[in-house]
Amino acid sequence: MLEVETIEVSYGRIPAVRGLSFRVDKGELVTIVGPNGAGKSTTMMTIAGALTPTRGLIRLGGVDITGKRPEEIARLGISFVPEGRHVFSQLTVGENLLIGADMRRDRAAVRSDYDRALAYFPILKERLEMPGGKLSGGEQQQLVIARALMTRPKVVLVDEPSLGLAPIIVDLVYDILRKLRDEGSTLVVVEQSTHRALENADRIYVVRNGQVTLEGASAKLTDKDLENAYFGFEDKTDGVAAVHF
Amino acid sequence: MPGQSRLFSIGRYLWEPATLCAGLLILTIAADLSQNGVLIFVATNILIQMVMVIGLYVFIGNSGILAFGHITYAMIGAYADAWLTMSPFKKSFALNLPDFLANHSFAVFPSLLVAGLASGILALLTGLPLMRMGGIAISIGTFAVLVIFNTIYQNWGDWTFGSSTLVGIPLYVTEWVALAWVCAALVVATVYQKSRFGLALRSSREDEVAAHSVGIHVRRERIIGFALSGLFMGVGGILQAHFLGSIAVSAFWIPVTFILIAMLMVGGQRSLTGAVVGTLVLSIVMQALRQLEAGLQVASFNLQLPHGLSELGAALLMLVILLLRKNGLTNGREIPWPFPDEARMIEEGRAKALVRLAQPPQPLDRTSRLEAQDVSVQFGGLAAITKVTVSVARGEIFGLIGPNGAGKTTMVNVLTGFQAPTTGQVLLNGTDITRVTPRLRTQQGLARSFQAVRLFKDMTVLDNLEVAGIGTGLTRRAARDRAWDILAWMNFEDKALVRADTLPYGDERRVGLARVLATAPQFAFFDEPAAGMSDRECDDLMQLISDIPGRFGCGVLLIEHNMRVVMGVCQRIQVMDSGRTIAEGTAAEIQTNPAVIRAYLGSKSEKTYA
Amino acid sequence: MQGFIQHLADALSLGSLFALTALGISLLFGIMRLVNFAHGDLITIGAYALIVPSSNPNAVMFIGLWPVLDTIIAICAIVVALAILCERLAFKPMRGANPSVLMIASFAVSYFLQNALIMIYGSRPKGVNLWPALAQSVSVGGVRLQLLQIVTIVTTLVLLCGLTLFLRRSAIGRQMRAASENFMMARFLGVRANLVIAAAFAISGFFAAVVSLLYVVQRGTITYDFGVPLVMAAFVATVIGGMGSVLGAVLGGFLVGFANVFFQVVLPMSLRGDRDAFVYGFVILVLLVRPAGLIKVKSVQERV
Repeated sequence: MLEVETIEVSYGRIPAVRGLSFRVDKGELVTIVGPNGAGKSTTMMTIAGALTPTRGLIRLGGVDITGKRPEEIARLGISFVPEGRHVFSQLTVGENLLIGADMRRDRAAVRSDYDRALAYFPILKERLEMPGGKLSGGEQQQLVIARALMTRPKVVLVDEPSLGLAPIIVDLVYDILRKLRDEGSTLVVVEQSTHRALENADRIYVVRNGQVTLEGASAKLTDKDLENAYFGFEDKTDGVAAVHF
Repeated sequence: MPGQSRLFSIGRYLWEPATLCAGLLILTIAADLSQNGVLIFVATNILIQMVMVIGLYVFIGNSGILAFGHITYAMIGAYADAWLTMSPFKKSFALNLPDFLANHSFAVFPSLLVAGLASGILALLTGLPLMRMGGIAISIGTFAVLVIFNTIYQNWGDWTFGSSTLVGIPLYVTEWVALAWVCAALVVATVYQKSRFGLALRSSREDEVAAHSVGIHVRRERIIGFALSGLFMGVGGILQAHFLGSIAVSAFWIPVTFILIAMLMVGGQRSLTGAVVGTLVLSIVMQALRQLEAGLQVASFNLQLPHGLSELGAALLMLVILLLRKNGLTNGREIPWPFPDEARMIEEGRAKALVRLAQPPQPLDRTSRLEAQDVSVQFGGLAAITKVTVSVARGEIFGLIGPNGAGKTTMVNVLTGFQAPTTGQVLLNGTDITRVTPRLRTQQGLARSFQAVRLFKDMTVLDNLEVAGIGTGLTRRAARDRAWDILAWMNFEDKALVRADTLPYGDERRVGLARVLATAPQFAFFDEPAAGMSDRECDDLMQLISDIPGRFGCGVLLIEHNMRVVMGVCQRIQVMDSGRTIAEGTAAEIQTNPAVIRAYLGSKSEKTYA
Repeated sequence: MQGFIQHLADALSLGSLFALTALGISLLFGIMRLVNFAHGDLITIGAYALIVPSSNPNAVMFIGLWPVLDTIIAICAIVVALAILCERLAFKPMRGANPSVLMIASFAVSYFLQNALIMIYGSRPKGVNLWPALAQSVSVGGVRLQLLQIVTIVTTLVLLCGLTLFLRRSAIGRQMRAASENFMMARFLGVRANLVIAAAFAISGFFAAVVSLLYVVQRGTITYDFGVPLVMAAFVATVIGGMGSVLGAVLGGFLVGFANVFFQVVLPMSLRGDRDAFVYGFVILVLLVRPAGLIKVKSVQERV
C-alpha cells in the first residue's frame, strides 16, 4: 500500500533521515519505534508532504507521490495525524470533523462516515458544539484520529498518539487504533515505547539515527531485541549490563 | 610581536568603514573631476541619502525589525536645525518663533549637533512605548509615530510654516561635507555594531527567546539602537535641508520612506556594506531610468519612456531582490578582511585562556540550592504538572527523566521563569523567585539550553558566547576572556571564529552548552543535550558534563532521553510521568524501580496501571 | 440630543470604514501573516476605476455613471480581480517568507500601484461626484442624519453579518478559519492552500471595493494616495484589536473611529488640526496598557 524507499531528509545541512525504507501492506498496523531525534517524525512529515526528501521515493498504491504538496497527498489518500494533536481550537468539534471531509464530493458517504466516527468516539458526540480547544488531551487525541478518518484515507499516519496522555487514555487510543485495523484500515503509528509497539503492532520497525536498525513481525520480536536496536548497543553483553533497567 | 598584533586588530576593527569610505572617496573625486554640475548634485544627494540609509540600517539591520516612521526623525532634525541656522530676517517671513530663536542665528556645525541630538532624543522617547510591543506590531506602531508628527508639523504653522515650503535655509552642504558625514556615520555605525550594545541587539535579531535566556535586556537594546538610528536620520535630514535650501513637511512622508527602505533592502539590510551598496545601486538605477524619461537619443530616433518609470523600476527592483535574494545584493555580508590572521587570533585567545585556566577554580559552595516546591501548571483545563517538587544542590548533577510529555520541559520552564506555575513556588537559596523574569533569573545564576539549541546563527561561536557574558553584566573584554576560557576548556577554540550556522549538528549542541556556561551560572539546565548525537559524541558529552560542576562550581539539571548519558553522569535522578514524580534516587535505585520501568519503556501490564 | 446622536452617527460611520478596511487586512494577516500595505491602494483604485483614465485634472465619470447596481458590481469585480492579481504576481512567489519580508513586499506593491496611478491619471486631485443623492439629510425619529452615514452603517452591519455567516457556515469559511489557526494541519486534511488564500484575497478585495465607494462619496475628491489614511487607521486598528483576530479588527476599527470623533468634539478649535496626532497618540497609550491588543491570538505568539 505505502512504500518508502531509502529516503534522505535534511533540515538545512543537518541530516535527519539517512536512507530509511519501510513498507506497509493493506490492512496492517505498522509501528515505527525509536528514541527522540531518531527521525521518526521527520519521516512522517515527509510522507505527508510537509518536507521534501533529498533522495528516495515514496509510493502509495504503486503511484509515486514524492515531493507532492500536502493537500495533494491528503487527497490521494494519506491522512496524517501529527504529534501534538493540533485540533483547531476555535472550531467546534463538529467543524473539526467536517474539515476532514471538505475535500470529498460523496456527500452521502460523508454523512455516514460522520455518524460512524461519532459511534467510534462517543465522547465526541457529547461535545459536538464545543470549541476543540476546550477538550481534554485524551478527547483531543480522539478528535484528531476521528478527523483523519473523515478523509476516508487509504493509509493513516499517526505520530506519537500517546504523547502527554495518561496511560489509561493511551490504552483507549490504542484499542481504537487496533479496532480500526481489524475493520480494514491501514495504519502507521510512531511510538517511543517499545512495549506498546510490541503489544499493538503487526509489524515493527526500529529507527535510530535516521535509519531502520531492526524490522520484523511483532510476534517474532522480543523486548530485548527491541531495546538493543533502540539504544544502539553494539556490544550486547557490556552495554546492556550498564544500561539495562 | 604585540605591536603588529595591535595594528592588526585595529585594522580588522575599522576595515569595513575604511574600505567603504575609500571607495566613496574615489567616486566623489571622480564626480568632482567631471565638473559636471548635475553629476555633482546627484552625487551629493546620494551621499546625503546614504547617511539616512545608514541610520535606518543601525536599527533595522541590527534588530531585524522593520521601521516605517524613521523619516519623522529626519523631519525633526531638519526643522530644529532650520530654527537655529536661518537668518532672523528670513525667519521673519515665514515663522513666528520665540524671541530667542527669532532674533539669533547660530553657526551651522554646533546647530547640526544640537538638532541631530534632538532627533535622537525624540527617537528615544518614541522608542520607549514602541519597543514594549512585539516584532511586527512595532513596525506598524512606527506608522503611528509618522502620522503623529506629520500631523503636528503640518498644523504647527508658527514653527514650521505649516504645509508651505520653508525656504531660505543657508546652503553649505557640498559633496565633501556629505561625504564627511557618510564616513562619520560609517565609523559610528561600525563602533556601535561591534560594541556590546550592537552585539546584544544582533543576538535578539537572531533569536529573541535565546537572547532573553542569556540575560539580554532586549527592549533596552532595541531602544538604544532606535535612538542612535534616529540621530543619523536627523543628521541626514539636516544635511538635506542645507543642501536644497528648503524643506516641506509633506516631503517627509511615505514615498521617501519607501525609497530609503528599498535602498537598504536592495543592498542587504543585514550589513553596513549593504546600506552603502544599496543606496548606490538603487540611486543609479533610478537616475538611469529618469534619463530615459527625459528622452535619450538612440541612433536616429528619440527613445522616451513615460514619467514615473523610475519609481516603478525601484518598486520592481525591490520585489525582485526580496524574491531572489532575501538578504540583498551583499547577501548580508561585509567586505571580508583580506589578511588570514585567524590562526593567530585563536592562538592568542588560547594562550591567554590557558594561563587563566591553570589557576584553581573557585571553591564550591555546596549549600546553595535551587528548589521548586509543590509546583503545578495547568494549560487551559489540562494539568501539565501536578504538585512536583524538585531540589538541586550546587555541585550536583541531577537528572530529570520521563517519557515525552511527562512535564519535564514544563518543569524546566517553571524553574527558569519561562512559565509561571499555577500554584507552588521556586526558591533560589531560600529566596522566592517565582515571579522573577527569565532574564533576571539568568543574571541571578540560572541558565538553560534549548532542545532546539537556538544559537545566534549569523554570529560566530565566540560572539555567541560573548553575548552570554554581556547579558550577565560583563564588559565586552571580560565577556571575550570568559568565552575563550570556556572554548579552550572544551578544546573547541579552533572553531571560535566560525559562524554558528555552519557548524555540524553535534558541535552546534556543544556550543549551546558552552553558551549556558558563559553566563557563569549557579545552576545550569541542559534540555536534551544528547538528542541526535552519535554514540561517540555522547561519550564526549558525558565527559564534558561530568567535569562541569568541578570547573564552574555550578549545579547541573539534565533532561535527557538517552539513558546511557543519564545513568552515566547523574548523581541523583527524579522520574516524572504524566506530570507527577513517580520515583527519585540514584541511578542504581532508579534502574530497578518497577514503576519507572512501567512508565518509561512501557509495560505489558498497563491494564493494571491506571 | 441632536448633537449627541449626530456625533454617534459620525463615529459609527467613520468606525465602519475603518472596521471594513481593518477586516480586509486582518483576514490576510490571519491566514498568511501578511500585513498588506497595498490594501489602501486597492481602495484608491476602486475610486479611480469610476472615471475615464486620463491625466486631465477634470475627471470624466465612466463606470460611476452606470446604474447603481452595475457600478457596484463593476467596481467590486475590478478590485477583486486586482487583489487576486497582486497575490498571484507578488505574494504567491513569497509564500512562507517571514512577516517582515511580506510586509515590505506589500510596501513595494503599494508604491508601484501609486506610481502607476500617477502615470495614468496624473498626480493632481480629481473631483468625483458619485451618487450625490446620498449627501441629503433625512429625519430619523426627529433627528436629522446624512443619508450616506446611514447607508455606511447599514452596509457595514450587513457585511459583518455576511462575513460571520460565511466564516461560520460555509465550507470555505470553515477552511479559512482552520487555516488561520494552523495552515499546515489544514493542508494535511486536504485543504487547498491556493484556494483558501485566493478566497481571502478576494474577500479582502471585495471589502476594499465597498470602502472605496463609500469613501469616495464622502470625500468627493480622489488622489493617488486616497486610501493611505484608511490603511494607516486600519493598521493601528488591527494592532489594537490584536493581530490576526477578525473580531479584534472590527473592535479596533470602531475604537479608532470613536477616538477620531471624540477628539474632534473635545479638542479646542486651535488643536482640531492635530486630531490625528491625538488619535494615534491614544492608540500608543492603549498599546502601552495592552501590548498584545484587545484580543490575544495564540497562534501568533511564539512558544519556547
